[in-house]
Amino acid sequence: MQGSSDPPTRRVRRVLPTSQRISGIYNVPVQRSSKQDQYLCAKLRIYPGASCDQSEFAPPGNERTNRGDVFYSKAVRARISNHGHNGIFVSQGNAYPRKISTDEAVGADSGVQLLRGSERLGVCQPTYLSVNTDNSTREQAASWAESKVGKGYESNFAATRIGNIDRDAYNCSQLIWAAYKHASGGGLDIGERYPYEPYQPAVYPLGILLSHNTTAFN
Amino acid sequence: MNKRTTIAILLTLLLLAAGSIFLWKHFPSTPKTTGAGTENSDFIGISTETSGNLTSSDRNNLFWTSKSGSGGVAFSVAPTYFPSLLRIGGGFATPDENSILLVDQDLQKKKILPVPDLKVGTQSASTNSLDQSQGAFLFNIGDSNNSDARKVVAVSSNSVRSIDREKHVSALTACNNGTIKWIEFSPQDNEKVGSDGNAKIVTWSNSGEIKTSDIIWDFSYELGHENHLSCNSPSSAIVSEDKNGNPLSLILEDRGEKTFVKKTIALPTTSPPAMARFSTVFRDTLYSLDKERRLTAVNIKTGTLEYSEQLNVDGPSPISITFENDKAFLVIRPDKFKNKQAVLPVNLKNPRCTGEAVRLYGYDETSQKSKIERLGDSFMATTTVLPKSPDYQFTCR
Repeated sequence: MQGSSDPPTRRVRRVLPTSQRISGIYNVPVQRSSKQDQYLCAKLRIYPGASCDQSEFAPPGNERTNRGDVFYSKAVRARISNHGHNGIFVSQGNAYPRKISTDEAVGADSGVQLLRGSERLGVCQPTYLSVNTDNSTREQAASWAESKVGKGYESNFAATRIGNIDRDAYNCSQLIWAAYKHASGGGLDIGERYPYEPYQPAVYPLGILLSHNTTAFN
Repeated sequence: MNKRTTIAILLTLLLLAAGSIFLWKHFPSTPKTTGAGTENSDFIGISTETSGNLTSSDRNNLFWTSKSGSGGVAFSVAPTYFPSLLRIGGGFATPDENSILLVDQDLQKKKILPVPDLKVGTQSASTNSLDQSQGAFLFNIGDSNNSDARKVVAVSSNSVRSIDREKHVSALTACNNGTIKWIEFSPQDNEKVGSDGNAKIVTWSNSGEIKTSDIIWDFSYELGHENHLSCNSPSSAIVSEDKNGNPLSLILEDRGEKTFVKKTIALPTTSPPAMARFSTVFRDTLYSLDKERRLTAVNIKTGTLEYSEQLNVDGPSPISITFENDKAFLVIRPDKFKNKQAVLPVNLKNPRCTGEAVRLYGYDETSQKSKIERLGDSFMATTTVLPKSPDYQFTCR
């Protein structure tokens, strides 16, 4: 992790009991690679069973979301499900929602698309995640995701880690997981919740949210 | 119970389960119509699923609501991303799979206008003409060679046509005579999102003829969808920004193959619209709602701030806005409706004049298959809501 010389505290998500992981409110000092000396105090809120009815509906991204960062949207009801959504930011931080672009696997018929901020529907309760790596890897991940625009949509959620990462179809979490796999030469797994996690055949949005290789910020 | 009876019961249960799966697989998306009562509707809307990726079992709802508290889904259509509803020829139009669905004002009669290769679209923008006889939808059809490719679909009450374009399209404009106009942006650096670049006006006539006119200007960023071009005059006013990101309007003069910037006008800096489609230009005034729920109106031909007014919106942030002439229809989730969605009419001439919030119905119905796939976790957002009548009036609260 770039600039990891003196973090004030360690991130705590992965060592908390499961119940707290789902319902807790964490003050997480996080490190932004682009501003090595800046630590943002982020709150990651996940409400069990919450729907968007109780939360804000907003476009993903803000002036602190940079190229290569990813977002997770929507709280979940069931950890076993593939609920939630991911996308990767391909624009550099901007306060204007219309200038924030993402690459996402949009849906069954649309496949992977570049969504301009001026054309993007809001999402529920987005959480922003910085991948714990260097800027060069982030840049490569974003570029790789951009090269997949026009690819189809992977409807089989059960085996998204199996096979070549260069393929004809992706689902949302698979796209950004594969982008970082490619950019890191295979070493960085942003769907892995904790180091040396036993092999999983699939990656899910919640895995990326809770990964030890991503850090939440607001 | 003997062994034979047990086996018979198990076989029966197995057959029932197989039958259920067969029915579920083969009839998940049958369009649903609830015609009863639609003639009493006051508002018509379209809603879509926002919880995660759109799946083939998701459906967009073309729904109706009456002020008296009734409503429901009139038609369920393909899950187009970020769909809108246009008032066309006295009825309404919305995208469906490989088609545009047209319905009459009472949602009783429908017409399907085929659009080859549209599939289930990712809608970028839409607009209709001043007389509401013509309309246009814009769809994102980008691929790895050209991530900004777009499909323009022109629609009237009895015809549809489409054209694919390779560049980013904005300022989509539908004219009363069926001509569709827009601005295409060519970034200097194709590899960089948000690059500066050049633009041209494209005019697509009813006969299918395409004319282009290069705008002699260096744009620092692609233009937004709030803009519209003039139909009857070579002069148009559009909102853009200078090299430092400060807002300004450009007065364009179309002289055939080239369009010149006759004048630039600095606009007051206001906070940006909260979301996509939260701003529009109508009769040379830019209306915009920011995330603090402040509605701002700026005359783009004079640069004058007409007002900046905090709207009294109850509940969490608004979900969408539909602008129609000098009115806006906000979709909100007021506390009094326990966060269910409602429409709040706002008079754009006088933002202090807002009508009663009317609870919406039918927008949040999902298909059974979608409910199962999402384990009940779903959030349907109303992306467009319009009064049934174009002459709708309301009393200020």
